[in-house]
Amino acid sequence: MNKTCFFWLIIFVSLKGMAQNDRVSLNLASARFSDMVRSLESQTPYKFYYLPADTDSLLISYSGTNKALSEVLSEILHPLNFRFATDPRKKIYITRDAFILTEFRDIHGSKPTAIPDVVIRDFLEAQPEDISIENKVFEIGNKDRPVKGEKTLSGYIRSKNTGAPVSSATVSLVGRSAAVQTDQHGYYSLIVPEERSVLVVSSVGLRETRRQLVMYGSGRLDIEMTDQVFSLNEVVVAGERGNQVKRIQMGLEKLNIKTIKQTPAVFGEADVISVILTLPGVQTVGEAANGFNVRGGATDQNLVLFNDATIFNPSHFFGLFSSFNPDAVNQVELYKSSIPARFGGRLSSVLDVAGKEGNRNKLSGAGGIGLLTGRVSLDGPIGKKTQFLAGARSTYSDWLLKVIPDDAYRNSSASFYDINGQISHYLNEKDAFYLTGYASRDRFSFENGITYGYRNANVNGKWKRIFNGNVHSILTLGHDEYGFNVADRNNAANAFDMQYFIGQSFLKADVYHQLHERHKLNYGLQTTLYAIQPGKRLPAGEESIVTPQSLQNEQALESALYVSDTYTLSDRFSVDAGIRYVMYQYLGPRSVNRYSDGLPKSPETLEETLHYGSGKNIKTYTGPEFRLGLRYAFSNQSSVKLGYNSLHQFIHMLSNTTAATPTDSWKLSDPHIKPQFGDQLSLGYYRNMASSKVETSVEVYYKRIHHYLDYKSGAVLLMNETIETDVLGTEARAYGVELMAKKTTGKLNGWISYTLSKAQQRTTGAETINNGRYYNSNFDKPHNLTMVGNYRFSHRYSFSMNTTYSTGRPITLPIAKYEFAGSERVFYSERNKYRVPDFFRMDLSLNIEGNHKIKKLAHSSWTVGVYNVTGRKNPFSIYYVSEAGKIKGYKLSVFGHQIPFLTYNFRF
Amino acid sequence: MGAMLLFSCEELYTPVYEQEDASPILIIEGYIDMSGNSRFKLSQTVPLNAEESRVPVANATLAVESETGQAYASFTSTAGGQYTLSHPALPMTTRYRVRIKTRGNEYLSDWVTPYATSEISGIDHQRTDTGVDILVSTVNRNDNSRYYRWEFEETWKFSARFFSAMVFERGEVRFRKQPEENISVCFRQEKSSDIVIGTTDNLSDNTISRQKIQFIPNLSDKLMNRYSILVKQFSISKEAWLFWSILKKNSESVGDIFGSMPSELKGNVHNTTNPREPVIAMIEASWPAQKRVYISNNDMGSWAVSIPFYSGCEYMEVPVGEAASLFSNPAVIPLSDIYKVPDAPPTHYSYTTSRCTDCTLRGGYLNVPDFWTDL
Repeated sequence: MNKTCFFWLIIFVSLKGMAQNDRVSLNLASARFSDMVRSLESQTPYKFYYLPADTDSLLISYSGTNKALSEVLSEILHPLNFRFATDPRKKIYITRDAFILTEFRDIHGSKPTAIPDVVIRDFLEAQPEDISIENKVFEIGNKDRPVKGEKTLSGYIRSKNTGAPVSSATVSLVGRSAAVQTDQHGYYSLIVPEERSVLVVSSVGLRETRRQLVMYGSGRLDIEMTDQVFSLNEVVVAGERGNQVKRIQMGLEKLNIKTIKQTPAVFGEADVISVILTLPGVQTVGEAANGFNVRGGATDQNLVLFNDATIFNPSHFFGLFSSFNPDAVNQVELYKSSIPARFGGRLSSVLDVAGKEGNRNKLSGAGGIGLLTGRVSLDGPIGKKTQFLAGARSTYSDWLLKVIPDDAYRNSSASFYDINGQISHYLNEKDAFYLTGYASRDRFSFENGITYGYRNANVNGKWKRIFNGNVHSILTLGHDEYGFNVADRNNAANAFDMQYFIGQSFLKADVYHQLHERHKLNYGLQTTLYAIQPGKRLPAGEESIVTPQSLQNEQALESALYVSDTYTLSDRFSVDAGIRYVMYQYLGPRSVNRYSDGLPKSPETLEETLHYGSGKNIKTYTGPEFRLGLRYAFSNQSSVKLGYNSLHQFIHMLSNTTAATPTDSWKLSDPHIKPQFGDQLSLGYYRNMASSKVETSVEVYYKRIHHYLDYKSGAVLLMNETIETDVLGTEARAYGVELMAKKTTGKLNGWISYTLSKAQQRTTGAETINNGRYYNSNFDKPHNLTMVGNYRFSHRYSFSMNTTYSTGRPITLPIAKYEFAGSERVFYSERNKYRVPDFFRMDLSLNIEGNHKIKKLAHSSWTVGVYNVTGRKNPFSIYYVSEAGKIKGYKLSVFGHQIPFLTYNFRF
Repeated sequence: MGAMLLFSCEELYTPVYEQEDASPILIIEGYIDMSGNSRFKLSQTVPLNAEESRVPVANATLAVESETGQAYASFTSTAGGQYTLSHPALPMTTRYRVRIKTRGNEYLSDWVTPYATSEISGIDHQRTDTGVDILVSTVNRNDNSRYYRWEFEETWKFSARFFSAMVFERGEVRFRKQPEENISVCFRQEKSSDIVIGTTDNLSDNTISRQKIQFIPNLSDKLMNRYSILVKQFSISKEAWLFWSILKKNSESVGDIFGSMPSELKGNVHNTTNPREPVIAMIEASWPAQKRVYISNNDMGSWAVSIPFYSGCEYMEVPVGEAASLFSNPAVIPLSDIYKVPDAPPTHYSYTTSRCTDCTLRGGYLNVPDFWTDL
């Protein structure tokens, strides 16, 4: 309930005494100015008038009991260079730097002739019923039999407009430091120690709301939040101001879909992964390269989850777009350091993309039209308890290829689509069901007659059960698939079709248990059954003499039990300790080769082939994983954290190119290929500055990876039945320091991050690369500086910029030339000894919102911008070509000049 | 990929490299010829920015050794680094290696198993939109190697832009004696400069079927008259096939959009005292199969030829009386006599510049190769 005042200009000074009997108690921790005002207004008869523009980026921490109002105000405001004045009608005016004269003074013994025009009125943004609901006292529990001590309050937080759950909303009690966050379904559970308290719920883009509580016993309260429609200065970067200091987790990056949508991306399509790449510690080998690397980890070491479904290939169109339809995404979390014990199976990171849930109130939709892609989504209620959301996206990029006056392109084609859907059903207060599906398909063909295609398909069902306020569980059953195919029709005699398929079925049970206010337990089990068809090649057409070949299927069962305990020892010190015990079984039917002991595995050292029957256990790997997080807070504004993680990875992506390609296949650990094992130690210091307007952090990490895979020169990875004869045992290490400063509030917001890091690997077996010494990994880019900024000129116009600088990636360079077999050729340096030139790119975009009438058919917006505005030709690779006996060196840049884009978005 | 390539661009690039990567590396080309008299070429690498790309290694000593203890060490050599070892046809039943001494170092190849190869059953050609593909096929054979490499030598007959039937000699224009005084019809020869390898590894038969080994683009003068290709086929070991495929991949197709990594080129020759010193060599022991075919211009239907070398060539005439002074300039060559008055002696000579009629100036040679057969 803000008050806006329009305007005055009086410079004189007169502070009239305030009634000393207005005594107040105030306990604020990083509270907004408006919270302070609200609290004071509720305790006194005064009404406050101030300019929100002056005060909305302030965060106030104050503690005082039964103090005079004037004293409290002086203590809070004077250090901030604010002044206050009261008038006899119990109004308090707060101004910056200057005083307000609240009485007319005698000037030269006469009445003033001119009085500045003073118009004071309340500006009510909120609907009256919201105010009344905030003032209403909710009685929970049985008044006649009140329970002493701690009680639990739980329930769902939803958007009033759409009925969609609000995830990552912060729920806390006024005057207490403990706060909880809602899960992806908007569910929260909070221990309430006192009978009478005030609940505060806040979330990005939504108006903060409060509930007056009287708790006689544990109970449930669902809360609706209203949209903050015209949020001129509202934070869009991050919801939880100050939380980086408080939470135990380190290396966690949360991104709201609004942030993702405002960051410029190539072709104007809001893109989850391209925003992820602006975060410290996240790298890619080059623009439009599939996949990303987190803290020196390989691209296959990221667990990419979309509503709990594992997306094996999160890219479309060679990495130009990521798999996620921005209209179907609610928020994105990237865990790069502390990975909670409930996640496992990948070493480097978890990218948890939470989808939106359907509108509970009315049918609504959203969409967009860009130069290359179009998307649409629709959501709404089906009956009172059920909602749906369905979205689709596709490309029409072929026109682009057709206009190029070159046959090689004209006869090429490329296309993709993805569809996603969700149905949520809230059966009763205790049970909720969710059914989620995702499917995508990519296809591209070249002039040379080769067609590639790949697809993701995922479906899962979830049952959420609330046993009581303290315990709830989520049971998930799902199936994920990925497959690709290659069709070669270049030469009728050699024409073939090749297919690869991986499927996994999983069951997860997670229990969240709040023991008391300071003690939370999370435990559960997971089991995943993998089935892989590693390759099938069939001749195509009558003339083809290709031998049909089908590699043996692989199957395995991966199971895990975990428990994780979060304990707040004191306001300063908290611990999060978890253990996850994993068991992996490689299962028959399959034939497994045995090689001579102590010799390199090769066809020459093959001793025998062992056959295992269906379901027979061929090889078991087990081991514990530890997850530990410690936090010590120096104050509300700064803390230090320590984290240690260890993880296993049983599934490996076979790739011997710099960037991931769609024909990279996944391979299960087997008796020869050991599971990858990695651990990471990290230490971080977090400090909020300028009244929490600016969050800064420093994190250092050291990471080790064992049983990483590299390949012998010239290894063919597709259709290879004995891949173990082509791999080189490798270990990797990575270390670095990440600095970040983030301004989350105000018209100008964004972040600057700098990462200094190293990622190296070395071969450990008899056959070596670079003689077994450590060498730089493909994605080792020691320096990386990123700046993402957004400036909101007005309600309708905002301007965004994204700037990235990084060291060029390592490359193996030719060092000498020679003549051989009739041509001039080049001799290459040691692996990754040199680097491509440094990378720099700046993107700009302007977001133009349509008019802001609340009630109109559709809201629309335009995004116009330029990708790579300096037109720098950032080299993706450097290569040498032998053309008619001559050798020429080239550098290839993927986006070698400015790329303008324009996208039209709408929602209704 | 298409869209990416649309926005992508390629620029010439010259890297700055460390000095320690600049010491020369020994290169050995050639194979142990099981049919007798092996030939090897020795050279060394040069920095990328060097003018010449071939620096021969002379004054080396070579020997072929067999596992059964034979050694053949008599050779002849040239300043250009060509070495010819004289030895008889070697038995296929044992393994062989090469020993090389140069610059105070000794290099030894691994023992290699000799391979004979199957017969070439046919060399076909196929017209495409952009030119002609030359395709090779083999007969089926139960061979223990399913890996192949081809080398070829092309020879073709071509004419200069204008045919010179006459010559100016001792103040007189007279007809040339054919074929001794021909200057307008030449032969040219080229050896294969690309690596051509193939495998039947994933085929049910060990049969090469219409493997493309060479491409003649439209407008080439290779097919203006008659063309011959001699194809040499080697069966090779998998190790050798990998070497050749890496060499081919490294120099012909590295740096695509996915960034295929240049692979470490591992040969089978090592410095006996410093095994880590790189040596670019893959010694094979082979009894190759070879076959020659001809393709004539008439086989093509129509074949247009356009040679930039002959652009600007003009056909001119000079009156007989002014011929002597004109042809005293050796760059001007008479073509034929012209009769403008019926039943009278020639009144004019046609002529052109030597560039347009002397085919040796385009790199041809006049002697008919020994093997050549005309239609």
